[in-house]
Amino acid sequence: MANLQNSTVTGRMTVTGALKHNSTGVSNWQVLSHCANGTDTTPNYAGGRLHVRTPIRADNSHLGWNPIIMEVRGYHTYSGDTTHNFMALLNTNGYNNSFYGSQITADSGYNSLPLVYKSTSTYGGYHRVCFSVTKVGCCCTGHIWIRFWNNPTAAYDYAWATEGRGDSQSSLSAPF
Amino acid sequence: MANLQATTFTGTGEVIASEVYVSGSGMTPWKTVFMCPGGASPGNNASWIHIRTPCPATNASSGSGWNPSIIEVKGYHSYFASYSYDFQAVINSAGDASNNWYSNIRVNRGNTGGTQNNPPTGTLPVVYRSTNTYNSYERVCIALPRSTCCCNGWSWVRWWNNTGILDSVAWATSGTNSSANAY
Repeated sequence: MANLQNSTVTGRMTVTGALKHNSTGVSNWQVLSHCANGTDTTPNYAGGRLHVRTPIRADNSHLGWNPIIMEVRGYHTYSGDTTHNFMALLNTNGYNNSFYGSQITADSGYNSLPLVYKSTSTYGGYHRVCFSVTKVGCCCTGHIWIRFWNNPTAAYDYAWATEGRGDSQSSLSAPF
Repeated sequence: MANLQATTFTGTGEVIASEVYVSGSGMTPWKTVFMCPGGASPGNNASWIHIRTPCPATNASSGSGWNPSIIEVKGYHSYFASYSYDFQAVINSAGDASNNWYSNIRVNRGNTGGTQNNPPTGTLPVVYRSTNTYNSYERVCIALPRSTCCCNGWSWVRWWNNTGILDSVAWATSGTNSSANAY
């Protein structure tokens, strides 16, 4: 592994993986497709909700009294039936480990109806921050981008996952 | 210092201590500012944090006169996001002898305690020009409403356009109970 000191790149710099930029506190964008598997829907790619499991630990080991902003942008379908543009503050109570993920502090999306929650199961020994947004009933095309502000190293702790479900904002299933 | 030509990093690159400055983009890297200003009373218990940036707020610095920049701010204060910040202001100074100062907040998605079922209301951030000069120039300053505790909070600031007029004057923060000029 090369370890460079002060460096100047003249021209284009391409990073095939992620670029961790520790001093700014801002993570790279993570891009995901909207064509999630629909394990409890028929056919696959049915409408409802797209659930995203992030690598962020939803407990005091990362978030205790140390909030992270999660920023999400994206769209689904060719005509933008849903567009996503929101920020949520992720936090856990440093005393009793209660999770506060539904504080969506800014939302200017369209038909997005975002919800942030803590996974029911554990992954790598920890509950993870998950969210869901509206998903139209087709694969079509769609992408979603996520990044984190503050404590960005937490973004590289576990694999991302997506899941399509035929649920709704008011009646969420718990795929993760 | 290494000078690389067009370069590909395979895998995950990690910038440990400083910044990635993409000079061709016309934007600065993000500057991270802690929301516990300290200083004289009320300091950490203040209802406003004032941030003095290194950006000159005058045409005398041969950069900002009739040549606006966007200043973009994101962030939050307190564990429960009592305040969150997400706005853009166009800042400018008249290029003629009047040297008038313009700071118009054109996008503001911040809030003062909104939740999923309690839609956000607008914060009232303020962008102003310092009264005093620092290294000979008045500077662009920001006042952000905040919770009256140190608690926990960060804001991030960057500029679009005019990145070359930022000089070496240090950033500074101060806590007061007024949005009026603190610098």
